[in-house]
Amino acid sequence: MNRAIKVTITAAIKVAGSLLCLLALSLGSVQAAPLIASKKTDPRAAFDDLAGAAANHGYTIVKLQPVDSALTKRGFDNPHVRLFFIGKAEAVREAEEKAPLLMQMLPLRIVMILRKDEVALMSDDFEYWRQFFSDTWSRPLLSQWEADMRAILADYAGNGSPSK
Amino acid sequence: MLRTMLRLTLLLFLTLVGGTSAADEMPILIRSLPGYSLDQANTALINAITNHNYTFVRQQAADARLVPQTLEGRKVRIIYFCNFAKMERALNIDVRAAQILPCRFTLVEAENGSVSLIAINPAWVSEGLNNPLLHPDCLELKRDYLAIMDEVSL
Repeated sequence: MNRAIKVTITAAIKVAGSLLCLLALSLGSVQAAPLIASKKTDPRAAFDDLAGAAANHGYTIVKLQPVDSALTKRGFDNPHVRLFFIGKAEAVREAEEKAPLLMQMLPLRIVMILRKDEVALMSDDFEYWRQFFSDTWSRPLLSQWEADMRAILADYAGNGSPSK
Repeated sequence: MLRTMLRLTLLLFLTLVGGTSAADEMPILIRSLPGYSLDQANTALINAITNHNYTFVRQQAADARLVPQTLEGRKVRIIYFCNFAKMERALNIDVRAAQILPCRFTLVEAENGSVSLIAINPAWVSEGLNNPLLHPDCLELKRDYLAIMDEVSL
């Protein structure tokens, strides 16, 4: 395929995807949305702030997955995305004992989205999980993790609460 | 051309969004692996991942880096893998696709020694994201997951 056409189609898909994403959120469907916190900073400072915020709430960064460099070094577009996984031993033990299927959510994922002079952090969608894992054991765990994540993202943003 | 594609896409979205409010997919995909030890299942799984054109990324215990290595749990093993072209495509469509990245399976050994292979259903996550442009890719990813799981379990 002609490269110019490929670039145009890729750009169109990107723009349309972003619009659909916004529309999906704004239409208020039954599905919830992930927690998001954003601030003007650079990636290195954002990492430090995230590590600090996680530690303040008893979590440790267990893995950084640099999706951006993993893709660019293989010749793909830069998605300007990095993944962080955070955890704490008590959360793992609790999930193992009370709701083993929720182990699939651990360690908790944070998506870092790099935009010019701004760095946004996005969580998984806990409310969506609660809709399907609504038993006595799962629900409180999911709520606890969501509260922890909300606090970490608020700490990162340095203000009240992350947007939703 | 760009405008036309956008209009068509938005029309498609608005058409579909009314009918996609309820999730049809199950959240979890699971297979039991009778006759396998955790290590055997681990090896078979990594082979199957490679056979289906994915790259094995890493494996870890559920509590890796949260406890000293000697105390890490031995009954749960998380295996991450990736197809970089599919990853790029999904992220280009919707950055929220990062919620299913990298691809992941979990091997769990029960008290009686039986081993299960578990994954979050990417199509279920996609239903929550409610983006009709992304959903076909997630359905394809689910098919790949099931094919890998079948190869290991059959």
